[in-house]
Amino acid sequence: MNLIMRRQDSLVDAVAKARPSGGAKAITLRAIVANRRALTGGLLTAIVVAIAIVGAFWTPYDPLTFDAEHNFAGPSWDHLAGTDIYGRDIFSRLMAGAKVSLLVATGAVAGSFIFGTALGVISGMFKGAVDAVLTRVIDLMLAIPGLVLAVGVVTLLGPSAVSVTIALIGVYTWQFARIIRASVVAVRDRPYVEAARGLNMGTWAIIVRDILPNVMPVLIVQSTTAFAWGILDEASIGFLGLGVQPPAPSWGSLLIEGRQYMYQAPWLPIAAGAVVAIAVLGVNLLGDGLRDIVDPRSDGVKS
Amino acid sequence: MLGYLVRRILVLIPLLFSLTVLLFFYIHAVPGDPIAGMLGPDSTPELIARLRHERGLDLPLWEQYWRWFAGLFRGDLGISLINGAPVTPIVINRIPATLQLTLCSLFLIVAIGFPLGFLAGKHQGSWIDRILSPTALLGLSTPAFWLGTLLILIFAVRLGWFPAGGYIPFSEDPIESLRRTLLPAFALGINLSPLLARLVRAATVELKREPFVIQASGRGLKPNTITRRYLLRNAVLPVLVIVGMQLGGLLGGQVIIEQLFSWPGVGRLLVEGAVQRDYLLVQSLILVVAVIYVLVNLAVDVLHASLDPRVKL
Repeated sequence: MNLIMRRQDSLVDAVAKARPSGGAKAITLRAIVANRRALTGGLLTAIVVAIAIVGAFWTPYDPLTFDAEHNFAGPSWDHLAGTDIYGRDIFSRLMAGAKVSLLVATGAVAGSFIFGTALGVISGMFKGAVDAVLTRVIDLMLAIPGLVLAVGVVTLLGPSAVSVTIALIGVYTWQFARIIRASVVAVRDRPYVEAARGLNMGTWAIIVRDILPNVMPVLIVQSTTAFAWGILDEASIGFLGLGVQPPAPSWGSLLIEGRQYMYQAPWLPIAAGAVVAIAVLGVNLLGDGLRDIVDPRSDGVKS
Repeated sequence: MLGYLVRRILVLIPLLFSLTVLLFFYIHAVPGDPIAGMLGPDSTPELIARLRHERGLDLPLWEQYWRWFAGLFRGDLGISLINGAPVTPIVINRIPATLQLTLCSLFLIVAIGFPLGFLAGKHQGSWIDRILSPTALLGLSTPAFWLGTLLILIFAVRLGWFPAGGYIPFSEDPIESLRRTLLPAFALGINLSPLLARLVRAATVELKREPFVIQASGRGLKPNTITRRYLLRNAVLPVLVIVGMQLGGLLGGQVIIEQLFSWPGVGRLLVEGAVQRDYLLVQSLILVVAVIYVLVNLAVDVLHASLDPRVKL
């Protein structure tokens, strides 16, 4: 996470130097289609989201009904990913679990988007003591590894989907705040912002009309990346037994069952992990592609 | 150099102090009654009140903080919420296992990532170079628990080459101890090595354009000499920076890998504390992890400054 964070800092710098407005380049549908990584990632993400939506209403088998005669069955045409200890179809449980996992990730991104943007804009716009204190707080919070901090919050709230969401908001907010502050600082002294000040516009009006639109592309990239973390972290916390509790299916709760029955039913952890990996890869690809679009000179890809 | 070191250490004091304040109030800002949560459905108001009193949790918040903070100065990490036992000896017990795993996996990250990145940077456009970027993304997207599970299923269950976990102290049986560390260390570090490789690559590519390298080849030095004397030496620097940067990910991944491989380290202790909802233990453990992170980054900075004369002291 740290690494991505610093890469995005340089993204902010590069964008600020390259564009006269100091803001990032807009993300358009055409640009996404033209970028191979963004397109591949976007399609993968779309498939995962589609499966989650279908899984919320229909699955090949009921994800909760026991079928003792067919327990621990290996993958077959009847059960694509095999069955678990109670004979439940794992593929159906993965489909049904996608909803909770993606909702947790969405909630985590939405919450940290709001709090992080607020903190970042306040820190970036009001120079002086407010900024100094907030910057220190943000840096310190980022010194605590995200998963460790999230586990701390879940300890207090108890294991559930809502506590995982809250815990993740408490982790990602600081990442958002940091990058938003950097973006705001990059644009805050530009001539058009000065002009708005000259026109006697209030600080909040300037933030809403001039600052936010210019940092929006960076925010979108950051949100996409955070969405990938959200999926991964929900799964990780679930794997530790601190997330959504079985029998309710989520990718995290399936992973803890996978760990328990790793030797009897290896297909369970393999399938559940693969689904998480594919979803995270898709969203990461999309995020990387979007980063290229926002800053065409970004490293690694077009060397 | 000495002045720089002293300055950095002086800055550390308010930093660590702020960290304790921030963490304490962050944990206490989380809503709900942790004692009721811990005791579960059996709890009665009397029981909760008694436990609160016994653990000193009925004191005003600032006084609770002060007790915790004053204890830290004496190396006392406070007490466990569950049984009131002091936390410090429990944590110290767990440190060797975690340290061994971290060092082994750092070694693997560098041993795999550095040569790959260096070769990719030296031979831009070669096949190593071309697969690096996709592999790095793949590594970032592969969950540690999945990789660990696959490694166990393949190398422990199917092939039987390595045990599926379990820690033996290095002092007891060094070879068996390392054999048991290999699989978890690999699971923890392998997905970070392509990332390291990518950054080493970027550094190497930049180095090739440096005037002193061009000048060296102008002087007629053999390519091998240039590689050894100018490229390789300077490409080592980013490794240091990256070790500091990736440490956070490593410490987080540790929690998962220790759980998967039944590794009796600090990460597993954190999860045990979280499952039992012992927030006093968890709070102190988070502080320990954060302090390690801050200290290692300081060490990396100092080392970097002493190795690279361009860094202003």
